[in-house]
Amino acid sequence: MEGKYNFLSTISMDKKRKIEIMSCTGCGFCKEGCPVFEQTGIESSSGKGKILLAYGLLQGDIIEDESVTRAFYECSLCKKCETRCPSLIDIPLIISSMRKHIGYLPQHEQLIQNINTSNNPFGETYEAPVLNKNSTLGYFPGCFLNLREKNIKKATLSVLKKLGYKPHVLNTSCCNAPLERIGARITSPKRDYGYINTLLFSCPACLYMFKKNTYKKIQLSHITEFILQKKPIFTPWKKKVIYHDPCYLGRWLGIYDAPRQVLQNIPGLELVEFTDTRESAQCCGSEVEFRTAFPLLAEKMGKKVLREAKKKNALLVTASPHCSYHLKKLGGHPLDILEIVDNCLPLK
Amino acid sequence: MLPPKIITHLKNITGEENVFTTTADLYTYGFDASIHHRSPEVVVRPHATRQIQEIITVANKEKISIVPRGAGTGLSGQAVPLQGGIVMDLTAMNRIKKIRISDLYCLVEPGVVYANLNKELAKKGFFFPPTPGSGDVCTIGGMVALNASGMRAIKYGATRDYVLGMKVVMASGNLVTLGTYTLKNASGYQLERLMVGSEGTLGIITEITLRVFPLPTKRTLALATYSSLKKAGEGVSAVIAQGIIPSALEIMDNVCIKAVNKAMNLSLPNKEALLLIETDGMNATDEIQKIAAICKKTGADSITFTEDEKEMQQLWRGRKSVLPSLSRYGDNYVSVSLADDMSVPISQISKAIVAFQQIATDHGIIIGTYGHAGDGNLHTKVLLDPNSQDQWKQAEKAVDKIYHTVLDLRGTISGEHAIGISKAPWMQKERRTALQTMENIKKTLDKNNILNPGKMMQWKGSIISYLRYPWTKKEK
Ligand SMILES: Cc1cc2nc3c(=O)[nH]c(=O)nc-3n(C[C@H](O)[C@H](O)[C@H](O)COP(=O)(O)OP(=O)(O)OC[C@H]3O[C@@H](n4cnc5c(N)ncnc54)[C@H](O)[C@@H]3O)c2cc1C
Ligand code: SF4
Ligand code: SF4
Repeated sequence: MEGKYNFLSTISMDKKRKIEIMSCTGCGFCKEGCPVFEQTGIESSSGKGKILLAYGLLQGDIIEDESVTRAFYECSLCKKCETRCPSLIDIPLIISSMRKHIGYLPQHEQLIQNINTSNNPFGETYEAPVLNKNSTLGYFPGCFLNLREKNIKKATLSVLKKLGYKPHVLNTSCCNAPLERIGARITSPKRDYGYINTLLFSCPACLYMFKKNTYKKIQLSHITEFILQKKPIFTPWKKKVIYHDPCYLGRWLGIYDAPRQVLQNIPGLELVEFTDTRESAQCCGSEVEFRTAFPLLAEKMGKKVLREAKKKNALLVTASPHCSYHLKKLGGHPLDILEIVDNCLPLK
Repeated sequence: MLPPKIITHLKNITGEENVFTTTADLYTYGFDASIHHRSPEVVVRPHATRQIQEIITVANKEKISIVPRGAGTGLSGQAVPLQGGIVMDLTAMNRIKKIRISDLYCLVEPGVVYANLNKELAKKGFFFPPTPGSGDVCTIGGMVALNASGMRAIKYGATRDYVLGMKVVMASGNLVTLGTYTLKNASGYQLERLMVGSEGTLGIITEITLRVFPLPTKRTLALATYSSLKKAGEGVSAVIAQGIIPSALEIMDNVCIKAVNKAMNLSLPNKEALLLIETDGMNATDEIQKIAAICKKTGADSITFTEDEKEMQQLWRGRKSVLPSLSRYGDNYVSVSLADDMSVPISQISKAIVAFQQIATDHGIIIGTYGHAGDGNLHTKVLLDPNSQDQWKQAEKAVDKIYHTVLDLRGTISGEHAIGISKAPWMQKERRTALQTMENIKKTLDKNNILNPGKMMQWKGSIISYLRYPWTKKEK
């Protein structure tokens, strides 16, 4: 017996979460806009379905089998449902908590092994990091920028150089976001922060993980926030662009304005919006553990974003290497915001 | 679990990808938004009327129950499969087949979501008015089967007022066409009307012809606050008695105001009660001024207006969120749908609300009252500790008293959420003389009683059964 709620299960979850689960009225408001439910249309795909499955497990109504495990992973943790739930249920958090108790999907094994052995989801080795240990400005590129979207890292370092900075580029063992999302055990890597007092990120998932875990004394910012502060003067760029809010930058970290303002500060640039934008933005399905386990769903989600950008006849721009990488693989031509900034920022 | 040969048969009809038998699927399809739960033995998702005919033919031959299902937002257990059997998920049949503005109708499949239909109609300056609070997710099929309505019913009526015709697969597997595509029809029994509110017990609706209405040119919204619930109720009757019919007239009591403010981070005035009054059309502004004057006269503390689309949406969002928000009112309570949808003659609203509060106090439970006061339709939510046998028992007693009060006031136990399980015993009291006729109709149309059996007039016993909450789980 825990408090007033008699959950039978031994799954350890704090009381507040258990009460949240019990408070689900089944209204189904969380289905509206859920990118996974939109594709599958079945109850267990929706936030409602997953909350009820959590309830069923906690009550001992059902036992975890393959279908239940699969249902908890068939979610991109985009957080859209949470913005819809009038009962204030933190659906993604409950899904994440449940993931810690149930087994992984077979598709996740390799990912976990790669991160544990090579410190990145690809099981590859890094190029040596650029170190400027004396700098008070740090930069954490993360696995995706080091090993896949190298163009974004190059553009970011170029922009920082043009602004007069040579940052301390942190040794880049994985931020562990994929492990956290899978619900696997995490061992925090040791990092050498040198004299850093401000640490910048291109990847919103890395920024979220750092914000969540530590580093209270260090100012942690997304690169677009930093650029906005510096008020650089851009050269004109006459293009129509549409900005795709990455879930981590938007709904997880609440950063919607900085990337938009940076773009709007470029003379001649016309910024248009998706029909579902900001808090309601469509998830493109790019997070690595999701698209590894559910490639078809991730493809449909990504293609939906590409279709709308094309329909609006605008260049697709985003601010997460995960989104860029995924959307490129689906045949899109997204640009990272830093690539545009680099292009429009003259040498000093 | 149904015999494998039935499952194989279903897969042959709809394709393997549309038949679901896993733990996760069966468990989740056993819920709607009521206090009840029971898992089906199989979920099947047809994409065409022909498939529905074949499925129902198998079920009828094998005497397996079938419960049609839309979005599962019903509040009284209508879509909960009491005998297990087949749950038929109709959400894949979601095409808007025709919008014929010149003939004032649209033709839709049952799985179309209410809000999606109105999005398409709005492009042509029209709408389908009932506006249920669940409109962003619920389906037209579910609305027809429950005769749903909502805050605009006071001026525009309920779903039944818009149903011109439909196609229905009967328990025998036959497809029948009921009603017409015309606005008027006096051609035989109005059987399409019989299907409205039939709760999936008489047939499976596969196509619906709905009348559409032009969107009003303008809307105005007033927020009136009261320091007495009784006065707010009197305000409602006074407004209606003046002969101006607002397009919505909603009431919220203090429990609801607090719950919404907490859950939705809104700042509605923390008063005993508030009224949200909307007028629409060319004279919207004039009419709202007149209504405001009446509210003032009947004791409103304050009245504010808005015509700003965003502000109006924000206020309506608060109103639509009352029901789920109540679930976070107190840390150890959940909000449950019991006695949630009474309708009384408009002049009796004040009496009814005051009586509900007294009943709640007498039974040591919390009740939040809100609803479409303008048409006499009041919603309540009971907040209780789902683990306490005593609270469930007290709640059931309170519900019984509430319903008796409503019947004494010449009201009905359901204005729009319909019967299912949770209201069945009291519908049986209210419609005592009609029960046998209802059962006769059911028997004639569904000889083997396979369509959503055990509900409405067929329900027996206490409603605190098939509970999705823990108390009876321990009891089992
Ligand atoms: C937050 C919230 C607010 C609500 N507000 C309102 C409101 O303002 N007004 C109101 O009237 N109701 C309201 N409801 C109740 C409910 O949403 C509506 O009654 C809605 O119309 C149900 O639609 P559904 O698609 O969810 O149907 P379901 O719950 O899936 O099914 C309801 C019934 O319809 C039957 N059915 C479904 N489709 C078919 C079909 N094609 N053929 C035959 N039978 C079928 C089912 O068997 C079942 O008996 C609310 C519910 C919630 C959770
Ligand atoms: S987090 Fe996103 S994908 Fe997961 S249930 Fe919520 S809305 Fe759906
Ligand atoms: S929106 Fe919240 S309360 Fe409603 S079904 Fe989803 S999780 Fe439950």
